[in-house]
Amino acid sequence: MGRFPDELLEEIVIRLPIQSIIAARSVCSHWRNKLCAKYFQAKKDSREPQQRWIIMDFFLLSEGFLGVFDTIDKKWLKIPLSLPPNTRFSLLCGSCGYLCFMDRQAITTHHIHLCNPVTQQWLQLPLPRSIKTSRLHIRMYGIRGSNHFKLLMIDCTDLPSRLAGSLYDSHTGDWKPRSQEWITNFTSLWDNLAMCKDGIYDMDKEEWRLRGQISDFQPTTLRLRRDGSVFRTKLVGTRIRVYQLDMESTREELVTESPERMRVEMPPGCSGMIPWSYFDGLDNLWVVCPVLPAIYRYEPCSGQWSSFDNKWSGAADFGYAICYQGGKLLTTRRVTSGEAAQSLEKLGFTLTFPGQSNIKSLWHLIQPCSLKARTWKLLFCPRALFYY
Amino acid sequence: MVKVTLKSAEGDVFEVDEELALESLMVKNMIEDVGLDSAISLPNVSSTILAKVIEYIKFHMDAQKDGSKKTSEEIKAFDDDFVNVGIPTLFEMVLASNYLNVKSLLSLTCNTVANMIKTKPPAEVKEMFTSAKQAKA
Repeated sequence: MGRFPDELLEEIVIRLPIQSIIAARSVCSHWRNKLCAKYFQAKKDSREPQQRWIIMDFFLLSEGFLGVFDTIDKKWLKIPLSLPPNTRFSLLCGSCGYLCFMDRQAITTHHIHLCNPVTQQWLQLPLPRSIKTSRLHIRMYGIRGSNHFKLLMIDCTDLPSRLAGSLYDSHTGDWKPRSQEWITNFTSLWDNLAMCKDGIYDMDKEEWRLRGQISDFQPTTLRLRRDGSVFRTKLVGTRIRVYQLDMESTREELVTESPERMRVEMPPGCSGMIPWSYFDGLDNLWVVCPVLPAIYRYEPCSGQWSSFDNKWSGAADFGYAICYQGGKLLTTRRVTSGEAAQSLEKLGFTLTFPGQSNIKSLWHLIQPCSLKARTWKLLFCPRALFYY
Repeated sequence: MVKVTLKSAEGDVFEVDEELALESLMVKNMIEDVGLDSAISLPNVSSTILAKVIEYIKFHMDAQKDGSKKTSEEIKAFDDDFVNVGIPTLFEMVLASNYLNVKSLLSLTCNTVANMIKTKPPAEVKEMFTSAKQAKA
């Protein structure tokens, strides 16, 4: 297969989606060498730096796949992922092509699990010490254009007296302990920039970019853009509002509001739920919320809002009922459209959660978004992560 | 209108408008180097492929001209039809558009090959590239 010049082979293969490039590695040894080469990967990366996925791990345990919304193709993909048996993996974070999981089955954990969902390769990474599963928080920061990443581990074991943290650097393969002040309330952000209530910190250079108090600090509503500006997304009535925070004056200024025609309707009982927002590589803002019927995008350059179906492609015959109570996820179940016409009890929705009174509110919750119209809307989980 | 003479691998002569010939950056450089007096020899491009390339450039030049009534659908239909050829011919066109340095055609043909690879298992991809090689040999 030597006749076709390598430069042209690259020219062709670089146009393929990552999954097909991985598959193409097994064409022959020459292709494998070419396509595994670091420079080729870097070339692919620089060609499509903005490729980002919104990942939903909701169906991982029950169905064995990750739901992925490709923000370039605007399509849902199913990425099957085989987990070790007898584990209850849940997604903690993701960046630079890796996803980071923890096994919630174990009461204390000694490891976290990194996975490349495209190649299905797993890596077990030991933690600096055993930590109670419920007390561990991890954030991941991929370093653009390379395979390197940093992990920030926050250990809440000794709260409220002390918060401990460590930083893992894939260059050195070591965990380095960090001071309490440093790690307080860090929240997941753009690449190497991390935000906490004391300001914005550059993970790469390990220095503060901006010090200042962020008023009403709620990590889930705040998002940092690549340039270091901070934004807050709120759901006000049926519209999404985006505010920009002025770090000096700590004032918020309304940047945009979703148009009236694009009504954002929350099912009853979900009003307290906060939409998650993400910036992609083109600084477009994506707003995702589990029970919204769509994913919303705001393009700052044109000022346009658009919405995309929050639905799996090719899965018309079944859907997922996801039950929330006061913004908290309770359970999920796969149902066929035939079943959807039946009553909740007949579906076998016997749920185990504290307090029987919850059943009633749950019923109200599901009915308007799915059973009433005899068509089953697909709803998604709150744990959506940006992954690239 | 100034004409440029292009000579294919078989020695067939194609007379085209200078404007059209300049779309090929390789031919453009040749013209700058040696001028328009002699025929430009393209030993790596067969007559069939050269005719196709000229057809492609001509269509797109006409489509871009002011007053052209071609819709983007029509242009897409032309492109789709243009690359709807056997794999050996398609590969020849990739090579020719690279050699002649016609960016838009290179992009079109590479995308076509990429789309073919996308839906094929590795064994068939190998087959595809091997058969193209044998066809040439």
